Amino acid sequence: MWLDRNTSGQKWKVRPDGEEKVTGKLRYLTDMTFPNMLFGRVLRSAHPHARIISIDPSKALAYPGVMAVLTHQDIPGLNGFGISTPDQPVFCEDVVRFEGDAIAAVAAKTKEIAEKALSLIQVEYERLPVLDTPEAALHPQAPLLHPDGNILHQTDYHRGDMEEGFEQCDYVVEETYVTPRQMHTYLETEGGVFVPEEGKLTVYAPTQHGYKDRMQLARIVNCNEEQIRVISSPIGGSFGGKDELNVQPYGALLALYCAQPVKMHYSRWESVTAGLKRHPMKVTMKTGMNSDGKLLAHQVNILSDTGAYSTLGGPVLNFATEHAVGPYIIPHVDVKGQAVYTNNGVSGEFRGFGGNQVIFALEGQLDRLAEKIKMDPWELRKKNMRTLHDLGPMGQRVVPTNGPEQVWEAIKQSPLWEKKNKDKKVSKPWIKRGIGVALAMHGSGLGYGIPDHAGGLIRLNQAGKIEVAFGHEEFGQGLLGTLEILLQDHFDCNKADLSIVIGDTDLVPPSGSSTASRTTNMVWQALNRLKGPFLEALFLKVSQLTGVSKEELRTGPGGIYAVTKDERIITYSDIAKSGTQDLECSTQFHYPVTPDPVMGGHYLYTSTSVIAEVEVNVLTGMVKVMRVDHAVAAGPVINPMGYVGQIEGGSIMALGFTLTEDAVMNESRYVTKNLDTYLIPTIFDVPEEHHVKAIEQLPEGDPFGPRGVGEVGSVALAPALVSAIKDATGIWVTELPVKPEQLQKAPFLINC
Amino acid sequence: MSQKLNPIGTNQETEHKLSFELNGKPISLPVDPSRRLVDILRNDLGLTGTKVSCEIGRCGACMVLVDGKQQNSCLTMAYQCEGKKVVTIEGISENKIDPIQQAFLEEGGFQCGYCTPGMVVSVKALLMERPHATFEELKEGVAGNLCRCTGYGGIYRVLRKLTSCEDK
Amino acid sequence: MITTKKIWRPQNVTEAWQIQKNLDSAEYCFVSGGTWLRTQWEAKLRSMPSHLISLEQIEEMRVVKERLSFGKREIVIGSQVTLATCIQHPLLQKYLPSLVSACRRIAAPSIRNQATIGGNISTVAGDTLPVWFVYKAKMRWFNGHEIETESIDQWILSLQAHNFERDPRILVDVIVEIDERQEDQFSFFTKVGRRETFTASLVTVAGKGRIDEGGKFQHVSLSAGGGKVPVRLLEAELELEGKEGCPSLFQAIYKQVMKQYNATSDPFASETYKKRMVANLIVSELIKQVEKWEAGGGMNVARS
Repeated sequence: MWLDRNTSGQKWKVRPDGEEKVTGKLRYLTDMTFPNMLFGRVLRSAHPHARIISIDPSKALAYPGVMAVLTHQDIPGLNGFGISTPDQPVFCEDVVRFEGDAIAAVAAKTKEIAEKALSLIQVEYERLPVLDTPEAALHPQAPLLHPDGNILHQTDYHRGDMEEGFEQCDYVVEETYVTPRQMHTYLETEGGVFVPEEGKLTVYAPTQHGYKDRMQLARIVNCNEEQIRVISSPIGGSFGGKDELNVQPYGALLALYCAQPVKMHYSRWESVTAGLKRHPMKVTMKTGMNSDGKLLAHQVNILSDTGAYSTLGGPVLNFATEHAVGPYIIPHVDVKGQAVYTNNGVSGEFRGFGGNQVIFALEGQLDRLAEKIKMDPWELRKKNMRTLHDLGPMGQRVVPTNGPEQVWEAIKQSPLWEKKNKDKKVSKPWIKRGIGVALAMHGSGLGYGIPDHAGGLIRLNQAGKIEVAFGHEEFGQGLLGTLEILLQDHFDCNKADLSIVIGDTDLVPPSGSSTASRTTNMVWQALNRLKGPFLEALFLKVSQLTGVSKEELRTGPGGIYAVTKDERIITYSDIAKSGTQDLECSTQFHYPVTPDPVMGGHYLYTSTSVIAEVEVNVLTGMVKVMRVDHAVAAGPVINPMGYVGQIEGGSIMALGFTLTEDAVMNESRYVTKNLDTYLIPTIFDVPEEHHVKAIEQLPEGDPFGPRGVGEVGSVALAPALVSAIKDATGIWVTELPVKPEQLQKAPFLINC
Repeated sequence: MSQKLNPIGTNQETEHKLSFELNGKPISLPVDPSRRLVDILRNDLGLTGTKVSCEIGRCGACMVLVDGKQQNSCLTMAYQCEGKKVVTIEGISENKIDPIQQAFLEEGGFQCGYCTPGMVVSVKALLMERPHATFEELKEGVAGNLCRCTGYGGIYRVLRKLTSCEDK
Repeated sequence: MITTKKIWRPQNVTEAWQIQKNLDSAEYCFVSGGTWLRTQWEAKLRSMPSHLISLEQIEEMRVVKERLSFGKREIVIGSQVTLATCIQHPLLQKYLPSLVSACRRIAAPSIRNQATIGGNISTVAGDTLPVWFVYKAKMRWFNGHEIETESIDQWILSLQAHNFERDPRILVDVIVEIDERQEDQFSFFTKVGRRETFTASLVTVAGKGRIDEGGKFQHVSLSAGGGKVPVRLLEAELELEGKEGCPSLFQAIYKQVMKQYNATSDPFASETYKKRMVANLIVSELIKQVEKWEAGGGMNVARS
């Protein structure tokens, strides 16, 4: 089904948070102010790599209106953060490792004074050699950036015998693919307000996992986790980028020190300098097949620039390692990966999580092999594609999936498919058109070996609303809408009968992170678990109140009805008036995980295929995307507007990744410091023809329901576009973003 | 801190008050004449519907109407508003949801919502100037508004909806 | 201490001059729409001086008008005219369509509502400059005593000679002579940036001229931006003069432009790429003009 407003019918719903958003009434956390509020700023390093000789805050402290200048000496707890390993100092003490490193933080009465104070802090540095590439950092003589050396993490997955495998191959393709340092570019930069009260600190700052922030912050300020309340939604975009701590340590320390509310809100320049990016990767693949087009051997080397600190650089590499094999059955496989520390900006979690980079490489290999053997590249994929009960990419057991076959077939319904092998009409001889197709399988959940808890709570609250509470976040993806739809489906009630609580650690149970395309699936599972016990308790109560047997009751708009009649027996608020103490149920469970001990290996997969048409102007080398169609196999669609939006949004983010986006660094300093040089797509860069085909059918007996689609829209566009560019120009691109120069020709030179 | 502006052509220094019309009401504020409109709106007046994101006119999140035309409030200084009519997102939806906003709601023209006030203001400016604007004209009108969430799919649907009576 | 700025809003150009006379050059700057200056200040590429002299109130510099000068019709475009005004102005739409095209491709509509022609010229890298070059525009400056006239070429040359030091004069307006033979004249402007819209240019090209009844190029002027300063492509113009469009001419033009035009590399585009782009774009625009001419019936004349 092509998913759109028409085909969705009643399920296409205005979002519950919509009106506040379109009217500007919604207060984002960075819009908040409190009485007596101070303004916080962070002093960043002047150099990407240097020893700190001295820090002298005295002049700043003496400046009128400055309330605090904090450095590493002022941290009550751990001077470090990082979801996986806390190796990023809150404040650097002896060494700075990238230009976003924090040295001090200032709280002042106005933003202007805080800014002035930063310029008055005197820091003396001794510059150290800059390691601006992973290759430089791996050099035996390179200075060590961390005590354990410059390698954050290595992966090594192996099966079969490479030598034997390649010996049997008739065709081998070897290529190196390079991907950019993409920036999340959430429109709302990092920020928030930190409010200290009696023995407690309330943090109003976006994150993708409130409880994780609370744990990390408690570790830094040295208090019990319960003394911190993290309020973390609504969020003006995240895409992985606000998963790690950013302003929180500084705001928290300053607020506690000053005993006054402190507001922090990074400028775009600071966000660029200090914020996470997608890992730039260099992926070398050597892939071979026999004369029948059967893939036999696949050797992969991934070099990942993780920047100065780890955050989730390790798990991202694990993900890339797994997805380098993809949905293809290959007997001999060897994947090695290294995530290397450099003095570059910190790379971290970003929609697609390492999949985007290797899928671009893997699909490129398939296209090149098909060219060699003169086979249709789509047929080559089918020939080697996993089927329902095959093992996962790293040999682990996975939930049976025929998603790759489904999307392989479904994309043929795009009008571009018909057009693919026909002559394409162009307006001028220097305009070339081409169509490309690519496919991917993407794991969801955090993977084997990583705690991946979920949970939720339901109650009839005292106001007589069916209330659910989840530790998940709303950063635009539509969680609130999805919950509203699920709850109305379960309880057949009005929107007004519902209360949805998220993003506040004092009010919600731990539900795990809102990452890894896991949230929709987790809330779906949680509500399935909660529904039975909640209705049981509710009907028991109503039965006691009304004398109607609980078997004869059902929920409906405004209250409880008899199964057979349209007449309401009792309203929710009347039930609540007689007490709600027994009307609360909660659940805790774990994301489904493969039973096989393969570190980071996934169990649930989503599949996608993408077909795209481009126009290349060889005078300029510029690429214009004319149409993109997606097929997505992710189980039942709960929230069609959200689903379409995630695929469209993820896809266009990948369009930027492919064509224009790169946070360029020169000697470990950002060259693209703001949105004038870091170019994300505008409406003119995006085709209006952009369609999503949702395949809802899951294999028989699948108990896991709807998979999340937060990432899968972003993983397969790059190889489809690059394939379309090849179709148009005959040129294979291996480095992203595409360099127009590479596609430029000189058509007016005769005989050239 | 004193706010000084030398009136036109003289050297007299007088206390400066910025006077302009904001969302239909006259307003007079003592303010540094070089202060950015976005700061006046968000910080001095608490009108946080106008967003701040790039601060160099490269995202459109801070879009407001100045004398009915779209303008980046991060690039506009206080003195440039003197005597003018400024309308923010708060002024567009004071009484009821505007049809533009309704279209954004129904078509999924936003996700995180941070670019949305700016988008709405830009479309509003165009439709005020040309009530029968074409799809292409509206598209041009939002060329300076970046959206990172929707990939513009929902925005395209909004523009189609708003011009469906015009385009045959 | 953090101090507030002083804003001056002179009503005429003499007043504007008087204000700066008492100030050091580092203490003030003239401001029009201020869109470019604000981005420079915010990015800390330059600091905001303590005095801003706004030129926006000077009525005479805010209009586009036609006038007669020594029997010739001219268009006068005040330096404070916004880009948005240029786009909508009937005189410019009729006589300077490539200026209208250039303005349409600058930044985004909201910025064009504020940004001015004078501001665009002052940056020296503005996208309107190649258009001024091909129209052989004259710029009129107030130097404190009088209004002096200078061609755009001269101005750029002297800027280069003075190492791009700030021109202390006030740009009053830009004047372009009206070509009475609009019917058979062609003009074009093309900009290429790193994305479709709302971005700085990598290169810009502009041109105008005519194709005579015999299908020969006449009086073509060509210009390109994308290097340190925009330039006229004089050799290519000479090469075209009186010749009929054909593959060998186009190849010659391509080569000529490659030879004459110097681009500068930046982190996103190499010099060679930009050069080739300028040469390709100029030739493709010329080809389009020949095609148009042929479609317009010129073909019969040419072949008979």
